[in-house]
Amino acid sequence: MDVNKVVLKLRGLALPLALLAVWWIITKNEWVSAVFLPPPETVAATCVKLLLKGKIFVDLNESITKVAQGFLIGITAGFVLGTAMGLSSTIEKLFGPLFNAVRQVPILGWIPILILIFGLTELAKIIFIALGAFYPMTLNTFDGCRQLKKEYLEVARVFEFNKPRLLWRFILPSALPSILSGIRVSMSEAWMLVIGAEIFFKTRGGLGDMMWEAKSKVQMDIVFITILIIGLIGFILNHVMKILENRLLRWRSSN
Amino acid sequence: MTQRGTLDIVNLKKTFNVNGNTTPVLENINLKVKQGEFVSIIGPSGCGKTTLLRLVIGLENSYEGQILLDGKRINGPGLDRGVVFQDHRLLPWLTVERNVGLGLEGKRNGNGVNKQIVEAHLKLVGLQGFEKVYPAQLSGGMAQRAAIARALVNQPELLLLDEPLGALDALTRMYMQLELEKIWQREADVTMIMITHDVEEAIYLSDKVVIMSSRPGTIKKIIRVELPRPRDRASYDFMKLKEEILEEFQLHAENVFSYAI
Repeated sequence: MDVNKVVLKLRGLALPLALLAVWWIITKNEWVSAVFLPPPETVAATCVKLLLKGKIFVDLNESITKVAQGFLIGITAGFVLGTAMGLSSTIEKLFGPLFNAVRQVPILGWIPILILIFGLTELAKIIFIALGAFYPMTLNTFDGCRQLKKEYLEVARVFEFNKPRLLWRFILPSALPSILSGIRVSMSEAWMLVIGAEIFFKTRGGLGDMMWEAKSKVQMDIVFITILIIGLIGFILNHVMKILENRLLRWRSSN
Repeated sequence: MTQRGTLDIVNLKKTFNVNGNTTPVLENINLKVKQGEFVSIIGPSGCGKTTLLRLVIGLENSYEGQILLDGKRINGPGLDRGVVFQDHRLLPWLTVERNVGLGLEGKRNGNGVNKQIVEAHLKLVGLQGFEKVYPAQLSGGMAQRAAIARALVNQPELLLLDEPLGALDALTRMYMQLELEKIWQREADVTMIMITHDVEEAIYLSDKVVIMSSRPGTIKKIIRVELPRPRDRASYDFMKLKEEILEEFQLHAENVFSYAI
């Protein structure tokens, strides 16, 4: 293995390690009260304790399940609407203005309505997350479906392709890069919103709830741990999507 | 009964509407192409040669006069005509193999048969071993070979080539001319019509060179090339023919064959 390559790969770790060092120095010298900034070793110890206790996995599972449900509903709906608007200008004229108007409402702005209609339920949370995933997916899919160059359309005409084959062989593959980045954005959106959902919809369980509860008990170390876990999982999801993109879009590279 | 692969263009006229004005693009085009013939259409840019080819492909519609393939009027594209564009237009997301097989997808031949046809055509253009490669990984010449294979896979009666070698560098281009001639000889019953702006290329490959002039596009002259194949670009007859064609464009040099002592 090439040493330079290893160094390059580890380059991204430099800043987090530096931050960790600063954190450690601050707490070591007690520049900030341990109540607000617990030392790294305390956080690490609490982390081990939580992992051994196992409840954290229940919360994690709760959050991930919720995200998965909302995300899948959101991207499916987004894919369908985006494709439909991308393929048919009638559908675009019909749904486009409404979609663009509704899109201006911040996701957080939906919370009161969702609570009033669905109450503090699991369904409300799932709809909330789905909504967040729905917008970027719709926009990206729509954009992607408009990507196909006129030149390729002529190829399809020369080979007498019918509509379904045109969609399958030409439009969707050319939209794929856009669709995949839509999925990636939707996924991180959904992951961010699940925490919000668990805090705002005030139901038991999940990382958001765990964090909120720790906040009320001023357990800063637990708040820290939840933040780290949320960040780590977001990072992993993003990375997995990138790998998937590279695999599915192999045809774009020239080597 | 007309033979398969015969193209008849009779009194063709085509106009474009630009800002409410009708501009004639092609006028009084009459051309007969026999089965298996190689015909080049050459002319200055803007002479409508590409429009003419697009009409034959069926990508442009609404014209006056007749364009007949085997006696039947052309209306829209069809699998009886294969097309090679200047930019290869291979689908970047499909492998070479799948690109070449594109025209076969609608046919229920069974996978094995289609695969064999694709293999045979890749062999014809010298691309064996590149089945699983994506277009982005091919050189310009190789991509154009794949495009030729893709156009031939349906056994079209007509192969229509729109400046197929125009984007290639000079050496690759000459090499591809040899290859194109070989392909034409092997696919003996396929009629080929090629747009080009390269006089030498036209003479090297064609049985007939159609010279067009512009505004509106008309056929100025049709020159038969009866030189034996393979043709020698340096031969006297070849050069003379080249002069004759260049003269049509007022591009000939005076006294090419004089001696400086």
